[in-house]
Amino acid sequence: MSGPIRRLVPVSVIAVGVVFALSGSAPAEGTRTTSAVDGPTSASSGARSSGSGRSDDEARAARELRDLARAWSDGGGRYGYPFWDKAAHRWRAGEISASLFREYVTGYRDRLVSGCDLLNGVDTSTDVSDDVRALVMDACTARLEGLRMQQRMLDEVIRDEARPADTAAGAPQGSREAASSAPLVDADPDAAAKIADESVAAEQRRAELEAGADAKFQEAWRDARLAMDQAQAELDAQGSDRLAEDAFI
Amino acid sequence: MDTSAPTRQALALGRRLDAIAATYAPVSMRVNYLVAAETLRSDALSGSVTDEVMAERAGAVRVEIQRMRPLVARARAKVAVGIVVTPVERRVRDELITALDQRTRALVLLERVLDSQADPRVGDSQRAFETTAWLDAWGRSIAAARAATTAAQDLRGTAGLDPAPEEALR
Repeated sequence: MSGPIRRLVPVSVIAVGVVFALSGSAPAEGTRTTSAVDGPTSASSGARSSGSGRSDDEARAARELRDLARAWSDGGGRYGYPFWDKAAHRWRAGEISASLFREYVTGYRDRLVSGCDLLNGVDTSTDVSDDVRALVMDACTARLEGLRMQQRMLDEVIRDEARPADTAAGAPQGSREAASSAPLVDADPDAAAKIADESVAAEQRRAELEAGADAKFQEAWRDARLAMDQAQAELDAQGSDRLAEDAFI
Repeated sequence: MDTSAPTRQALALGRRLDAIAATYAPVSMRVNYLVAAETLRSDALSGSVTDEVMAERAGAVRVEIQRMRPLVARARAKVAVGIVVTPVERRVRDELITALDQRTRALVLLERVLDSQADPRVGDSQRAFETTAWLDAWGRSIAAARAATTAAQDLRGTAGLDPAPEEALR
């Protein structure tokens, strides 16, 4: 990890923590920022509702799609997802600990709990916005389930890392070899076997939770992509401004 | 439910799509590093942060731009020579090339945004223009990557293959 990035880590963590803590920290309506989530097209939300030849249904559909995009952004798209995804990459690269990554997962999960409620509170009344709403709700629920599984998986990792070092000397943590090669348990074969079995069971639980979380994330990303495909196709057909392209990411 | 095994042609198609996705993967992996840094920086514009904090956040974005630029250039070169056989594969490749070209443009434009934000001689309307240009290029890049994902997943489904990881092309 390069120097500048290393220096930025605490800043990012603090900033994200502050952002999570301050529910009203999103830029005020109309404030022009360069967010990739609030794209240039979203600034004209609801515009062209008159004089563009659109029917009332089309105008309502466009408005409801923007409401959904705004709810998704406020509910975790803007402040949760990119930071969590970055943290996941950094954890896998060994740049941050499982405990720190778990904090990001918890922050994103907490934000998304409210985010799913926020989405659920968006009223839709046209075929297309009903469909998009159903997809983003499914995406939100699946992502939440994935995050909960990821938390439990990280708990296993943290527990594993907290095991006394001398029970895992000379072998990868969590492996049967790790436990059986430990000097402390060499003297007691029963204890060694018990520790080895527990270790293998923990490794298995961890793998299952990781696979389960990944399946839920895949489901969430697929539904979000399909929602976006549908929303943009509708807005294109209307000749309306598109949503910001990463509105449902 | 179709339980038949994919044909040899389908498996070969899957391998070709996987190869294209693999060339693009480093770009996808890095995308949220940039988005996270830029989110923090752009939030600071509407908040009351010191010049020092603002400069640090802009610096973080510049670091991400510098890191992403060679990844995009390498991916562009590799994707362009990727083997495609069917028209849909060609469409996936073309969408990815569009995504990479727009991302290259977006990175240049974002750098201009950073330059103009730091230059007191630049007026608000110029800054707004540059911001819109960067977001437009970025949006086009994301849209093209999404279109490539949809085309690739649909093609895999038609061929009886499992879906590829959704996050591979972003």
